[in-house]
Amino acid sequence: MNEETLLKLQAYLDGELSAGERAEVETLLQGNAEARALLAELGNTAKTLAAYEAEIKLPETREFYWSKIQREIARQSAPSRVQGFSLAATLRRLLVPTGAFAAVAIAIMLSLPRGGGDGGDYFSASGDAVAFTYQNYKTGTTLIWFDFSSENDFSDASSGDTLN
Amino acid sequence: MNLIPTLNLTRIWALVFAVTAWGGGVVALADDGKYEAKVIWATNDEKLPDDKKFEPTDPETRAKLESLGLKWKNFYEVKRVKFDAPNGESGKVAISEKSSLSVKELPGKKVEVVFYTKDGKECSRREQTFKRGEMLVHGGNVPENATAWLVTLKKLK
Repeated sequence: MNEETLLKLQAYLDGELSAGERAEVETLLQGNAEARALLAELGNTAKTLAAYEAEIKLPETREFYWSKIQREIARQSAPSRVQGFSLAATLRRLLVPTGAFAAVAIAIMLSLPRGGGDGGDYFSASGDAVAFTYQNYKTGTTLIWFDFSSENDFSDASSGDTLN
Repeated sequence: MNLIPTLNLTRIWALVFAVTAWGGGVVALADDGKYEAKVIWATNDEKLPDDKKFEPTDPETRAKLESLGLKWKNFYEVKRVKFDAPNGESGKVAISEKSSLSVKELPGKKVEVVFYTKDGKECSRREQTFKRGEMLVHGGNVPENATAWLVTLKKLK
């Protein structure tokens, strides 16, 4: 027997079928011993369950009983108020944003170019030199460009290796 | 009781390995860095003045200078200085009459390069990773004739 037939037998037993469907099931039962045996078994099971089902009687009215459940649900879902000082709760409040900040900082650090980048490099210009740096990471070339506010020491025409 | 340890084959190999590693470390420590600095003249003039006998710089240096996006098209080598950094420090090395620099090797393939102008006055100090194949360039304008001077530094060894 397929699943649909089994379900129809159960529905037949529970009186949930239409007149046409009932006639179909009865025809099936007349010619099928297995279906008859199953229907009998289902009937016995239903009787057994009905006989041993505990009857629960509420001590108060249905409405009052449900209102108690409703109040308990509302009480559990309400936000808990801080009851005094809790070290663990305080640490958790501090550590969650700190941890998030650290994660973002690490992500930024990892995304920066490394190995020769300006990150971690140190540069200072002194004297009257105003300087800036530029780095081409692709060619591994770093430029330090001076913009002297006074005489350019390197452009002295009297020098032996003068550049002008 | 035999107090003399047995020199079996495994111990001999371990000894050989340890001595080799130690020797390699000593050789590595003794391997002082070698550097090369060049004074470069950058100009857009196609023809050099008659009193200037400079050669165009080598292609590698030229390519690196061009990668910096400078406005000059021609780069001439004025002077080339090779120097060592024994025990990781070069001391002050004169690159031209007007400039000198010093290189100090630091842990992590880093170097500290100090650039000096005339009278030994410190002009800049930079610390960065510096490996073979990389180049550090100091430079500035020559206002009189719209050219520029450059001092390149690269690690040879």
